[in-house]
Amino acid sequence: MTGAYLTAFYVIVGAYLVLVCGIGLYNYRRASTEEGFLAAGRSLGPIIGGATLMANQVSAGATIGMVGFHYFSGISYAWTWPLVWIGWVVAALFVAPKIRRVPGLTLPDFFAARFESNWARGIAALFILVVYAVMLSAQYQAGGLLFGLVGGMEYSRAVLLVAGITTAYTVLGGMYSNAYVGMLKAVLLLASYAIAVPWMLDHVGTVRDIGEALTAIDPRLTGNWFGWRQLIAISMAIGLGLAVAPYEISAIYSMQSRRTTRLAIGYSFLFQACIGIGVLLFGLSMRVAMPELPAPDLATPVLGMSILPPWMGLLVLLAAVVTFTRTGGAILLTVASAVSHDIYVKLFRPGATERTKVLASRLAVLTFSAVPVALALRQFDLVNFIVIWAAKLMVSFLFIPVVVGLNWRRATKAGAIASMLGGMTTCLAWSFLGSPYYLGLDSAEAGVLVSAGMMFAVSRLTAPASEGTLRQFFEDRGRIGPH
Amino acid sequence: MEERYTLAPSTAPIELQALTRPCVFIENIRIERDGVALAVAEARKGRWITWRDSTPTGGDSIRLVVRYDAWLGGSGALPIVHLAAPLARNDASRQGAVTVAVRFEREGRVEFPHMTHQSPNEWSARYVATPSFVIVREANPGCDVVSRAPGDNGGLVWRFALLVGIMVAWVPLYLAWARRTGDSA
Repeated sequence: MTGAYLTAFYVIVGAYLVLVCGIGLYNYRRASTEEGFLAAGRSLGPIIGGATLMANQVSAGATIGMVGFHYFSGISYAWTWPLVWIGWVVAALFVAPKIRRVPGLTLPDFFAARFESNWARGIAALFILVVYAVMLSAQYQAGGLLFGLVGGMEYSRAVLLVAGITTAYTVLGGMYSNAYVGMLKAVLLLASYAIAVPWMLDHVGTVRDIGEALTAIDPRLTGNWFGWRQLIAISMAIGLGLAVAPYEISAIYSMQSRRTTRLAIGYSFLFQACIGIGVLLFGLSMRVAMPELPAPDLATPVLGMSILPPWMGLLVLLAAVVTFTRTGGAILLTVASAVSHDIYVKLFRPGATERTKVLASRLAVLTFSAVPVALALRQFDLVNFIVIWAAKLMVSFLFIPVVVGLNWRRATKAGAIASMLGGMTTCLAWSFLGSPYYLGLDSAEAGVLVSAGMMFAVSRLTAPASEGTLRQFFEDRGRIGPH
Repeated sequence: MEERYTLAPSTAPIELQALTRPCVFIENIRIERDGVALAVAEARKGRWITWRDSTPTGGDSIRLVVRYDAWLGGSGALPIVHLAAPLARNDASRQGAVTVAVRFEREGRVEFPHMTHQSPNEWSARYVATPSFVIVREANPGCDVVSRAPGDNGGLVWRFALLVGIMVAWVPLYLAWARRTGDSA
């Protein structure tokens, strides 16, 4: 690593910081109402909306973690992309169109409206807070690794720098900033991959050459390192989790209409396909080029720093920096909204002025950016394993109450609360039992099954929601299921 | 070729390996540990060549120097002899644990991975892990690698094509459906 390269790296990171803070300042006035700060005034069109959905999903778990996963396990993990897309189709069919009937800003708003319960809202907000703190820590950890290796920074300082960038533009411009930085992320990722992937293939060889080298290194790399059982469990956790992910729901609330939302999901597929192929080829070709990295998560930093020509490497590294700071921003905004909007305003200060609400949101962003820093400093696991674990927790407590609540009239407040508590508890218990498939079930599968069982059993035994509420959610499709 | 490693002490035997390519020859390999030449046993399995030394190690660190001559075929890709396990650094710095240098008999250029030009016939770089090959310009076209029989790619080609095919079909199909839906659906 030459001094000039290091200087260039910090110059482009500095320029990026100035740019995102500029975006934040530009949107500061527009984000002066709660709806502006948390839902961009419901103004996003299909392309920026698609970039926003993609930018939320394609986190450090993809550009750092998935490249590392492909590096150590080969092609099999790539099958999670189409499997995860099934979750997006579930979102397009069963979640996005109906959830927009609630004039809400956050996912817990849906819980309060559908189940007529601030308890349901509070529990959902609390669980989101916990799970997203873990997920945000993975973004900070990836940033710490990248800045540590490429920039020569101490890991703890690097984590603080990444947290600082993420917090700065989020606290200024809220969802508006997230949407525009999401578009910037899409452009940078696609541009850097469009340049660097062909260059890598030109030098490492064709897919056939890569396959021959990988087969010689370890035949499992070109076959099924992960079995179908594992891939389906991981994809179910991520895909179904995404269908009800609070940051994606916030993005859905930010779009102009239901049709816009469906189109945005389609454009997000397009972005994801390009990035998925790029991530796969980066991981595989890095394994061929440098087979014994000290840690798989270093594949992207080393690719940018030591393999690609300097200017191209800097572009790939900048795209990675944008990736984890942007997804970090979306997660931070969701965590902050859970605290400021769902707990502080809705439970304790319902009469708060717009100014107080926005101030509370900004203070929550500042406060809750610190918690994941503490987790990231511990480096519990590989980045992608942390993301997967958080996704499993998320799907276990959110999927059933949201999807069933939107599509089954008989779902009740008590059923939803029991479903969330049962799903979360089961997934946690399964995770700590030690065996990956205790009783033949992955922790997410066990969580969803218990969550579903609790929802149906408890809902049957308790009184349904009022007719007015049910009409709001089911008016145009008649009665579904028994009353 | 010359590789200089600075590693944390370890009781594990030193094992180096290289993934060979058609028309490339690796000769005269010399390995020194802390200034002492090692007599290593060479073994071949498929495309892999391994060199193994089982002498017990001591001291605060291992300084390993690996030198060898390599003769190129038509591809321009030169395999690098590398340790068969991830490198354990012996210091807290963020620097890489290995310096790889390529010296040409005449003038030459390393195109992959990124290396610094030290003199008209020498290129080098420091890495956190050893690359498995370098690509150099001015390869000797003495061997027609293009005509070699294809090796076993483990099914990567059809798996990759299937994955890309699913993605390419999925996006327009979904968008066509989404465009047809109205705002009330």
